[in-house]
Amino acid sequence: MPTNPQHVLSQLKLLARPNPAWYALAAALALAWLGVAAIDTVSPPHADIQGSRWLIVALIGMAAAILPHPRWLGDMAYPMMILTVAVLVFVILPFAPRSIVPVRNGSTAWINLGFMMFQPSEMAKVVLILTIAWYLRHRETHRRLKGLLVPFGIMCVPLLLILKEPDLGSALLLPPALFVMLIAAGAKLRHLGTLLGIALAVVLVNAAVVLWAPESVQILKPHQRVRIEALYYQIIGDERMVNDEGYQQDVAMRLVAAGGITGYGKERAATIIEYNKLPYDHNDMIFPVIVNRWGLLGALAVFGLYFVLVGSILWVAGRSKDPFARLSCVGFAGLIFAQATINIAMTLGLMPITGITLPFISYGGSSLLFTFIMVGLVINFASRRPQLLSRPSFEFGKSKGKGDAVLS
Amino acid sequence: MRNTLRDVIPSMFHRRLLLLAMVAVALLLILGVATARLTTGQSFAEARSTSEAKLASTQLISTRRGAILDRNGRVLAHDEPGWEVAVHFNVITGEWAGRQAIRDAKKDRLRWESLGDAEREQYVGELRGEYERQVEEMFAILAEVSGDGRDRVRERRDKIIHGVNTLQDHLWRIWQRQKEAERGEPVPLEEVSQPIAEAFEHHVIVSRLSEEQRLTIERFIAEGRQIAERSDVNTQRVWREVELRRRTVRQYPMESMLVKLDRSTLPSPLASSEPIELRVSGVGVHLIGLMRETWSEDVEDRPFRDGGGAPDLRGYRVGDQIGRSGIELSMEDTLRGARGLRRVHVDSQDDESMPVAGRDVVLSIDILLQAHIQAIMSPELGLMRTQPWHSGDVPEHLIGNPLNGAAVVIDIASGDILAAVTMPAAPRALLEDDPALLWEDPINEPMVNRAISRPYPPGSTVKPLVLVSAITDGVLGEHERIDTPGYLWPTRPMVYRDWYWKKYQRTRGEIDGVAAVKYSSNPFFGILAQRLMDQIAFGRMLWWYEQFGMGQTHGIGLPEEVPGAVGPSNRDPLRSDVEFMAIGQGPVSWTPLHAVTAYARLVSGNMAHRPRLIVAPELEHDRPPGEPTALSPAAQRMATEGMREVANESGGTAYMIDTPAHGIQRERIFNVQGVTIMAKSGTADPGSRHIDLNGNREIDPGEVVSDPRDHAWVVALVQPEGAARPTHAIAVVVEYAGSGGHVSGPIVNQIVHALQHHQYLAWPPVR
Repeated sequence: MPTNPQHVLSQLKLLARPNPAWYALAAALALAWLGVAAIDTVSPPHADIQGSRWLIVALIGMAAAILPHPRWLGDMAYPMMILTVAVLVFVILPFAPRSIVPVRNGSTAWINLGFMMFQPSEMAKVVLILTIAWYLRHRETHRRLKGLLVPFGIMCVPLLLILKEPDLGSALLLPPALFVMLIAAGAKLRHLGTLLGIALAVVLVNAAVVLWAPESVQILKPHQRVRIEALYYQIIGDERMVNDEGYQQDVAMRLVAAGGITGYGKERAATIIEYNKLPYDHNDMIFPVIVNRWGLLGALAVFGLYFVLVGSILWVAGRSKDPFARLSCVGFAGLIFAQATINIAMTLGLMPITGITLPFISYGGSSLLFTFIMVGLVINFASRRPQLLSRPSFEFGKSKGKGDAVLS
Repeated sequence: MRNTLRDVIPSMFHRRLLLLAMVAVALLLILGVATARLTTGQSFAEARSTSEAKLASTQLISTRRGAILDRNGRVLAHDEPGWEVAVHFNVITGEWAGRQAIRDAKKDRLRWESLGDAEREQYVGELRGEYERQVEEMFAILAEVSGDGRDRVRERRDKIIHGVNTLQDHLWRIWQRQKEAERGEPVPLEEVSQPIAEAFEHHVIVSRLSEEQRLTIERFIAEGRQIAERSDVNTQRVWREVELRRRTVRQYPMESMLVKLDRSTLPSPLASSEPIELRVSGVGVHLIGLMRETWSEDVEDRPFRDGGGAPDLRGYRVGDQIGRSGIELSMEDTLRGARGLRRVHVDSQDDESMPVAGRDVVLSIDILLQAHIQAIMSPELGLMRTQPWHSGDVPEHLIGNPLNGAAVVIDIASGDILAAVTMPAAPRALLEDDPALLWEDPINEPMVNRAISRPYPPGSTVKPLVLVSAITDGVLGEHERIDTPGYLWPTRPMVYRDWYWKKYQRTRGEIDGVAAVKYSSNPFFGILAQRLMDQIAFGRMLWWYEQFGMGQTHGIGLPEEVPGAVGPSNRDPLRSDVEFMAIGQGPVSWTPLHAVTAYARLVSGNMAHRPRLIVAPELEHDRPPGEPTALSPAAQRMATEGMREVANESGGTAYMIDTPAHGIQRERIFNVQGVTIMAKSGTADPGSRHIDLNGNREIDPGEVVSDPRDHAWVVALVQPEGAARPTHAIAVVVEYAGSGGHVSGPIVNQIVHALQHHQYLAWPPVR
């Protein structure tokens, strides 16, 4: 059991050994600090809560994630997935008590725990990665196109439930995480390329239908269509939607651009952002706050920290011999990176606006808790000694990797 | 390449990690480049400029609308700084209390979520009571401080709710029709039922607050907001929805006056040695005009911001006040002024452009004389009620009925309109309280300015003009006498006949022009019309009418001025038309303003003479004065002598009335000492009368009525003793009243008394 005191002690000793996860932890803490400082620019009360409550909760969650043995985590992956699906089903039940599942912004994405509003979709992201990693750890079936059906099927269960809440932003992050795990797990690139091509074609056809097809053949909901339209008009320089659907993106881009190389500094940025009326400035739109305050240099610092974070996690994956740990780390890196990239891209006018937070930086308890749990799991995996008889994993093709020798 | 990579990194997993890392780096590079592109160069410059521009805001500084003054500098209209209190529509409807209660209920999230629907309703109901109490208390305070009283404030609230709902309903139906037209199928009203902007705005509950009242209410608002921000129980929160606005208030200080009238010179049945004090309201309203809030068309015509967003400080915004009628409308550009603009910037000092006050407009009228004449024409005095002496056969049931009409007085030398009264009047208080009473009265039409806007057949009042025309053109000799028949057309004795023939079946015999005016002989002027047609030109008499200013507006600066008519509008005039026009019937009409203008031209011989209402700023006339036409001095003399005899000689049509004071008693119409009054009466057949009962501006069945009574005219010239010629012209018309001399003569007599009272008839002039 992971709670065995002897086991815990031994694990703590292992943690003291230098490993790349320390860089990930440092980058995560730096991003979190940057987040608190950025939130403090626009909303000091939120910054207080983020720094003194959610960050503490997140670090406790991270510490808890360090302790369990990966094997135990793997064994628990499927039950956790079943539990997560049950919770996701619970929140979308029409008769779920509203005292427990309130409707916020038209969505039933939260569970009221009394002391905090818990977002099951955040948990689903982590659990899905653990589940997929556990499923793929010794398999080769995903090397065939047909064999991709099961991992995609597993992903679709939480994805559809999250879409039903509805929480498009969270749902959007699951496919990239699965995708990078399949790449790392040795799935054939041409299979994945085909699937990616189909997905891109679907997106483009949808966009074309939204922009140019008559009303009668529209598939997407009106609020989704207007966002695509707003992005399109913003790209072609048409300002017709700047004051309604395109407003948020227009203000975000303006504040990013106004930051210049070095930014305005705290006081001035606070004034500029306040007078420019940036919506959701302390959560989804935190990146423009960073660039406005610290300029391009601040943006590069964010990019650099994400690079260090993701690179470190991939490094941990590369060093690990445990296939479950390997794929989990890749999944975490993919998820965090995809979330950060989508969030930043939408504030730069490269993607339509949707509700996605910037990992470690945006205000929010559930989001911060589960991103730090991922960091905790990475530290956990990084601190484990390799199994004596571990065999090479995800090595397909002509030669087996030398580095994956049995007793290396 | 691939094999080399495999040799360097034999592990597929690590190669895949490298691939993913490279993709991540590529994506970070893309994001980095996109960020760098935004934060540098032109994009940076534009964004910085746009985002910093948001640090600046503009505040408008209201301007002062120009005042309107009378000829003696008395203020008739001016802007007074004032304050008004506006309350959000949701508070007015009561919806606000419910919303606040729900908001509070949801604050206790756990409790709220644990409640069922019925319990929630009860919980909200409990919380709502506090907010409803706040709303009622706030309105009570407004009512008390403003002095309007609770009933008036309640009425105002109801009126606002009704107005917004009516407008909303109206707009929804328009939107529904538009959608139906677009789709070609019925559209349910629910589909277009979006709340309109007015439902999200503040509406004025009390206005015209004094500085002291303003301070009191401001204190309530400040205290209320302070408490609301500090307290958890949200007492006084309603004051957050209350706005105190600075707004200049248009005031009309001489609109209502108490006038003391001497009754000793009235016809005996109305006379008294005791003067009477009458309250007259709506004095000069038809001239000064009304204001209204801007319509969308006004804002579109001259928006406050042009397409580029630059402010036009003379432009209009929704809610601005704009002239609706009268001088307020015609002189809008002069009176309006320009707003000031204060630019407030977070970083720098305020930048301010001062407002430009509107220019004052000076009118020619004497507001005290105007009020005096309005009092004379008030039904309370009796002259503007049907009286037994008005005509020979006044039906008993009509006695005492109020009459409608108008009077205009001008100074002949300058053309200044000293007074232009129309009855019934339109008091501003009534316009505010119950405008429908004034705007929707198809019988009395109080909003019509009868002095300048309603053309009447002139009747015999045109006869002196015809006489002067005929003598000047030489078709009638100065001493020539015409054997005047009883009727003009030998084959139709019942149509165009002399009133003397009609009454006594006798002719006047040979009479000259003076007698013809005195007796108002119809056939005599019919013959003159025939001579002008036959000996000069068919249209000669029409030409003369135009020389006297008929059939045209005079550009006095009021948009309501009408031209009247000279000749039929839809065909060429017939011979009979011209013959009738010579006695003021047929296709000819004019207003009291035309009448005084024509007589001023007759007396002065200046055919370019124009009436003037606006003294300053001087108006530019788009039509230059016509060719000077020299009138025969002998003709002028004969016309004025004829008019003198009308008023002062036995047999004149405006000489005596028979009043039933002590039995039937004959008494002089004109009894003013120290002046000579020359008058011409006119008793004009009004034809059938259209009363637009349903207000659709069309003639519908049952809306044409026949009134046996004629329009009663007197046009008079007043010559003070010592003056070489008349100094003032007066025209009075009373609608559907009876004999011109008998109805309007006593009114003109009182107006001359008023002129004398106000020292206009002293000679040499004192004003």
